[in-house]
Amino acid sequence: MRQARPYSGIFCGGVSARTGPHALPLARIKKIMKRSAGEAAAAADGGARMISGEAPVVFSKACELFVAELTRRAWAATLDGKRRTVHREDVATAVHNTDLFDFLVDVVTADTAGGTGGGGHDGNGAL
Amino acid sequence: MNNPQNPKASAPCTLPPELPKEAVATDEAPPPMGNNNNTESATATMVREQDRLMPVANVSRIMRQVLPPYAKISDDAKEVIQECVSEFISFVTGEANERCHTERRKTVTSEDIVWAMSRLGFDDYVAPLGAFLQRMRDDSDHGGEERGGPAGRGGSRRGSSSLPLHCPQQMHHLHPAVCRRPHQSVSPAAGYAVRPVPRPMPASGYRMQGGDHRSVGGVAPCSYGGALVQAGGTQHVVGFHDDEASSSSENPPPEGRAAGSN
Repeated sequence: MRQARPYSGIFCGGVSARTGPHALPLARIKKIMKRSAGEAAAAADGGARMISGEAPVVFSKACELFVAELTRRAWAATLDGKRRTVHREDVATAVHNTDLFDFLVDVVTADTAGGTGGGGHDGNGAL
Repeated sequence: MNNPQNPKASAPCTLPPELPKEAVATDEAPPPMGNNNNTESATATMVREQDRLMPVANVSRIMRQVLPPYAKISDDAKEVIQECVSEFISFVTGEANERCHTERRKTVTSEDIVWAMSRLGFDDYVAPLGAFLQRMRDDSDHGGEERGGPAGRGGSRRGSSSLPLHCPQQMHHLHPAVCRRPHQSVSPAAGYAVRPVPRPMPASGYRMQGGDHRSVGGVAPCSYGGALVQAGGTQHVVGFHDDEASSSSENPPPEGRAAGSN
């Protein structure tokens, strides 16, 4: 089965593990989980952390909801600026305005500083 | 949670409503993870940079499903959302790992993921994920019944149990005969390769007993297989289930991983 379009029967009926493609690749999700689990396990007890087969599938759906939510809030910021193109600053504004996305503040501000890492801008607000 | 046989709430077309702005106590520490990501991004090569983020095609497709047709998305917006998704996965995984460590378990299950999301404030995600999980397990039941059908892509198929979502007590009693992989650090391996069935079938009536996600003991255990489609059209089948107490099967699963397109 190739790439499914948003209006095909798969998305209308819902995506499941066996009957259709996932919105995000499971191997990539598992690699990110494995890296995060490796850090936690190495710091705590040094043992390897195993990941259930269902966990990347749940993350595939959860990340889809997360991207949709973040995109909607960024689009609201885009409309406030009377524009039609979503920019990085709109995502940063959406992250700062939402308490739920507090853990992303470092991601959006550090990326604005560019490749220098910790230097550059510090503080909140749209640039 | 009482779900009907065909819950529409988990369909991608029907997205959950707007989240209220509630005060979330972020007792987890995102700054160390963020700093680690910055350090890694400074020294990572192009290949590792690709592996660290979600594919931009998938992220763009999800974004375009939400936005109106005349909206445009700049490349830096897609890039920053790719970073946010990876941070979200690490954030929730860290919380789930803490719970596993507290309960002296080594396998992160889907229940831990859902619990971590509700704890971190993503309460509105729990209901769609629960319905999504139930439908996935029901389809896996049919997949298990059709095990005698067309053969998979060169992979041996064996039945693996999917853990109940809200039954942590039963986890200690479930010892399914699955292929045990104690350590995996090189590449993700497929537990067993199952070709996805193109037609979605509704669940059987006798499997829908009870509102919670409890597996019926009398029937055969659910079989699970995950499938994804890469941008280049190559199918990559991932079905992997770990259990620390089981060691009956000694055969290593095949390394069925297709090269992702860049």
